[in-house]
Amino acid sequence: MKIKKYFKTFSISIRNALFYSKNLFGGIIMYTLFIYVFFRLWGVIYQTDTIAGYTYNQMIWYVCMTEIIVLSIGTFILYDISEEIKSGAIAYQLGRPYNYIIYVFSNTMGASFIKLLLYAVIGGILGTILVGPPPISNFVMIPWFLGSLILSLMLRFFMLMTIALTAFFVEENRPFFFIYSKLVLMLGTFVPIEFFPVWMQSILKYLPFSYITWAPAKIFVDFSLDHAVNTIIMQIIWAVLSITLCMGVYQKGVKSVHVHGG
Amino acid sequence: MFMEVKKIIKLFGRYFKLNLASQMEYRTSFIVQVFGMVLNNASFIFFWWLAFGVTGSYIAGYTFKDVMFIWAVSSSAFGLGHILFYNVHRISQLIITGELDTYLLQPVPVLPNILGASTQVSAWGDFFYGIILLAIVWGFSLRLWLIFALAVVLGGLIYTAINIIAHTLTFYLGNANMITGSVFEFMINFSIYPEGIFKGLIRLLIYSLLPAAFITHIPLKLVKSFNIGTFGIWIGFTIVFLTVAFLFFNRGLKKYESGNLIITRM
Repeated sequence: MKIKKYFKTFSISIRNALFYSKNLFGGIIMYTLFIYVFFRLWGVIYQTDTIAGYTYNQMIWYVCMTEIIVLSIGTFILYDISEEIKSGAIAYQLGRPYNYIIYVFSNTMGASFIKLLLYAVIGGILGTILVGPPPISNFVMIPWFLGSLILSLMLRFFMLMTIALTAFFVEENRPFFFIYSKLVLMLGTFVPIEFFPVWMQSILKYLPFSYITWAPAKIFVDFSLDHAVNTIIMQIIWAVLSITLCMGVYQKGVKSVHVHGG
Repeated sequence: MFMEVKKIIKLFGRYFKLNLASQMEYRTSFIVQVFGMVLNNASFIFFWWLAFGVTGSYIAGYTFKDVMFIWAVSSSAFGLGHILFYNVHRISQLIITGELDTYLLQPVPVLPNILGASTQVSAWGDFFYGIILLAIVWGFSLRLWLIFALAVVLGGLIYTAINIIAHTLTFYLGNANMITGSVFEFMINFSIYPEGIFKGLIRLLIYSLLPAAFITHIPLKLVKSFNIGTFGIWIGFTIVFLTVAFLFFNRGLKKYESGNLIITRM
């Protein structure tokens, strides 16, 4: 398998995102709004120094990090793929000399990479202005955090892609996107899972949703080697499972496409 | 004047029937989308349950019940706005592509004709969610439900009006997509969090240019303790805001230049 073409797709996607840079401003406004709202909300909620082990400073930086992840690969970023399947336009893609899933992955990751960098800069500035410098106690955290961030984006992509591919089998898959997005938001993006009842925490630590936002953001604001190693292992397991599922759904779905020429 | 209003209401009625009939052609899709949206909104109860679990009874002066009230009103109001006037979100596109020509040529008032032309299926989920949530959390009392009903209608109109204003900017700026997208996010976020968390300039904004306070926070004040003055301000502001939106659109329309696009509207 030649991977050069996928790198080319990735770089074209980056250039595309930079060329239409005006489109990125909408995301910046949204990111700033979310951080502002949570800054104010947590400001009211924090009556004590720590809640569930997080200080106010850690909590704001936590939200800065989780929002970077969810906004870099938005929930509906792959909704176009669903539309492509429903309209039958996917037939044009099937004859091309690339693996469709890897092509969409490279294309999505290019644009997401630019967004990630942009939100990271904005998040860094906002976090510092609102609550002071990030709570980094150990710089060993950085490679672990970056590794976890990449795995989190991969996991998020393949889960969303699997949902998009359900368009092969169901007429309306938008509700699946809604439900998935709320699971990610509620199980780690808005609040760390340490806020949940203990019995729920033990379940959530095995589910993939917490490894998209909670686990990497926790590495950033509250680094411990145990948590970092555990996160990377769980993320690899869930990434492999979601890639396998995605490929399986694609293989099965693509067989149901009827091409009538034209 | 009276005949004109009657004509517009009749037009909205026709559009509503047509839009509903076309949705019902895909009944399973309709039910799945409505149910999906109800679940989507309900997930936020969980967030507030966690937040109140940490703080106790109040967050920025609001109880859990109060937050559920503003959620119920905003959900149903946005739902109603999108059921009846979803096409408001296409105004910029109509202006940019020149598709507006078609609406200008038809023998009905331009703005109402644009607004009613399409609907959003999942908005029914938003609309019903608000009603179900209010019934479960607040129960039944005549004053509560009267204010809720009025808040949903006025909220739907205010929400549509702010979108009209944002999209009308396209007549002046060429492309106001970024502003229109942001207005949507701002209005939603300012409506569903306790008013007390917004201070200074933002507080001023939610009572003026982005009047989210008039959609959810003022109705909540009226439910908790009715005051005729506040009620008057609420109704008065809504009428003024709607009038401003209408006049602003008509003024912007004078700047419109046709693109000679030939299209068929089916």
